[in-house]
Amino acid sequence: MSNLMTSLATAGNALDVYQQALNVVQNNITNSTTAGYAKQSLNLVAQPLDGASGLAGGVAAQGLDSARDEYAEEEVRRQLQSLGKYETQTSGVSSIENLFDVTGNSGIPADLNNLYSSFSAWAASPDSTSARQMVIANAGNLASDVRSLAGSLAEVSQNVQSQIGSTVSQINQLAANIQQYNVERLQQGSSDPGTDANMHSALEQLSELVDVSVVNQPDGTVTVLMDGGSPLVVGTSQYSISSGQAVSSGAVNQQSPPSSQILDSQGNDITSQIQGGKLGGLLDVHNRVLASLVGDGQQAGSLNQFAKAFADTVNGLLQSGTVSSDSGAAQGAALFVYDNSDATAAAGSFALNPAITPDQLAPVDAQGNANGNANQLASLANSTSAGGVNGLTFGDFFSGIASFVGQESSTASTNQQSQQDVVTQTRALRDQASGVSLDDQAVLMMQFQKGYEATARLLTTLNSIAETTINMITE
Amino acid sequence: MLPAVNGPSEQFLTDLDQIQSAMNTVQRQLSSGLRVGQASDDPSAVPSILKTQSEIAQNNQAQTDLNQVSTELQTGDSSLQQAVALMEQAITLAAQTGSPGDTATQNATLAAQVRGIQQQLVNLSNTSVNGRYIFSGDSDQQAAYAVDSTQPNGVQQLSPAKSTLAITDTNGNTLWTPITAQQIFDARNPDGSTAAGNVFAAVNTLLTALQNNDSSAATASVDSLTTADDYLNQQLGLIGIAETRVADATTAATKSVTTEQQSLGSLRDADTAGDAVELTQLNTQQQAALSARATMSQYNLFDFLA
Repeated sequence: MSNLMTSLATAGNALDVYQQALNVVQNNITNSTTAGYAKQSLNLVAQPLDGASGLAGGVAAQGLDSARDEYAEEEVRRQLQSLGKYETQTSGVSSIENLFDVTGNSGIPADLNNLYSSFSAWAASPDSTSARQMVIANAGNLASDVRSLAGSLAEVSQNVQSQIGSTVSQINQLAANIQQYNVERLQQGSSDPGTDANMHSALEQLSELVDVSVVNQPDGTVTVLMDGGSPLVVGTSQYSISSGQAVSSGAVNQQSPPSSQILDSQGNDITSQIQGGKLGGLLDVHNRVLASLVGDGQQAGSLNQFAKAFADTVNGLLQSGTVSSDSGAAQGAALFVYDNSDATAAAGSFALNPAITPDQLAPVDAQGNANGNANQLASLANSTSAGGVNGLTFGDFFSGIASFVGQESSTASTNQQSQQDVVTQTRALRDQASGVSLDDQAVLMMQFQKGYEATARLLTTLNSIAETTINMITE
Repeated sequence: MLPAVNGPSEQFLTDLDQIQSAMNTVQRQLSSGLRVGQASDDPSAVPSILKTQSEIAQNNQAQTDLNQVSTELQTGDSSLQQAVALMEQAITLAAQTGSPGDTATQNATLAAQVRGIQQQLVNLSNTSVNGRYIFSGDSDQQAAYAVDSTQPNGVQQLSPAKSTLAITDTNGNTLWTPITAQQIFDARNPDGSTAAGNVFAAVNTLLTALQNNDSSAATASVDSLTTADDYLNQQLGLIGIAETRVADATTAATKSVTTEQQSLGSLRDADTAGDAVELTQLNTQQQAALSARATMSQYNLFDFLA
């Protein structure tokens, strides 16, 4: 009789286990599209069976097994860091690229061509007032477009800096969420699928923003470190990062546009440690690509180089000559002006000399040739004998700037496309291991359902036997 | 949190996005007509494109400048041809003197004609084109000479004879440095004295002789007039050479523009036919992908469990 009761209890326990199993299946199905969720399975353990010693066997549930593959998760996070970087590089550099006309029909290339043409026309008629006026007008257009480009690049820089700030805020928010999940993990004492899903989803989002490494602790919490070792989350503590801008104290160009900085919770500069993620991409756009154009504490920037060299060359030629071939003619005046207090200020301040008048232009060179200066200025179009930048004509130097920007954009875009494929593949591999297959869950549901039905029938039978036995005793 | 897209679906969306991106690029090229509309389209081609554009602009401007110079040279050529004709007229007048029946009245009449020739030669020395005195050298806003009977050669030089203006081609090679009125009409020796081919001096010699009723001196002036005429023809030849060089440079600039525009087209412009084919292919690819996706089974086992 006692064995009968034990069997009843065992069967009843089995029903409970099957119910739990069905609950796990239900949870898997309802979370099949939940970000970060890994399919769970109930760990069923057969109980010892020994009729002689009264062990009735049966089945017990011993916790949940997660199908999560931490290696696959880490691989996804690693690839997302690269994708995030390429995404922001692509968007950032494309906004710079749009500022450079490469058709030659507008912008600085067209302005240069027009100015050189007006120099050439002036050389043919050095005393012509209309030819001189055209020189001044075209010089004004060039100066205006150089300033405009410098201003637009400054706006892009501000936008990127703003994005850096918002990305840092997102990182801190996600770190706070992860810290909260660590707290929940410790409170729960065991792994909860929901908390686990939230945790991994947050880690995946964080990986897209910045390069981090994740260490799973024995107590179930995660430690999140930035790739240089600076902590973001350690246990129940969160360490916020911040963004800022600064020109280093040892900088050559103290008035330069400041570089973007990321500071850890102690105020230490960790900018150089951040290479990946959207934040890494934004820092690269701001501190490398933009800085190469507009300058920073250590470099003048190619646009400033161009403006300064062009102004100095043109002004030097004009001021070394005279306004006419007449005896006692006045020295020529400068055509351009710019702020030379800092190497990074030239392009933004590049302007037509506001005091210049047509009769102050000097076509006559220092040797007294009537159109020597005008010819030399016209020759700047295809020769460096009268001046250039780094051995290149001004046109070639500027085309090099545009080409550099184009190459950066093309490379970033290609990398982004390739990396998107890689991320998709790594996610697919991860999902193969830990994702929920509705077909699998349907089979499991049927399996547990049948088991439940069979156990219920067994319980009914056992109950009938028990009743019969009891009736036998009482009769 | 955002729901997760499963692996196959994410791959499908990624592939679809890449097809769309390629279609957008091709459509942009077709609508703009440019293969390289932005630097990232072909970064390595950007310097060549901009340089070719610059060369086209230079050669176009060179054509304009050289056409202006050509006009001046043609005008100068015409002026010197007129001057040669005047010199020959002067020679004829000088040859008419020395006859036994010459009278003071006849010589006075001849003198008036020679004075007219002198004035016309001075006018020719002040030939202007579009407001520029083309024989005034660097001082092109100032006439070169004026008639002045008090001067030894009968003319007053109004502007210095310096000419340093260099007409160059796009490579900086000098095609022509304009010759001055002094060089053409008022030839000097290095020491500044009147040279043998001096047109003004020769004409003035004849004029003075006729004004003085000196027929023998008038007749003797034929030699200097002939020498001056020959010199004038040499100057005319120089202008002819310059005209040829300028014409050749203009032709070269024109040909360069044509070649450069073809080069620019191949570098920058879209291959319309190729792009249209590619767009069609991408369209087909997109439709095929969507159709294939649509025909894929959307069922799972739950759909069959009753």
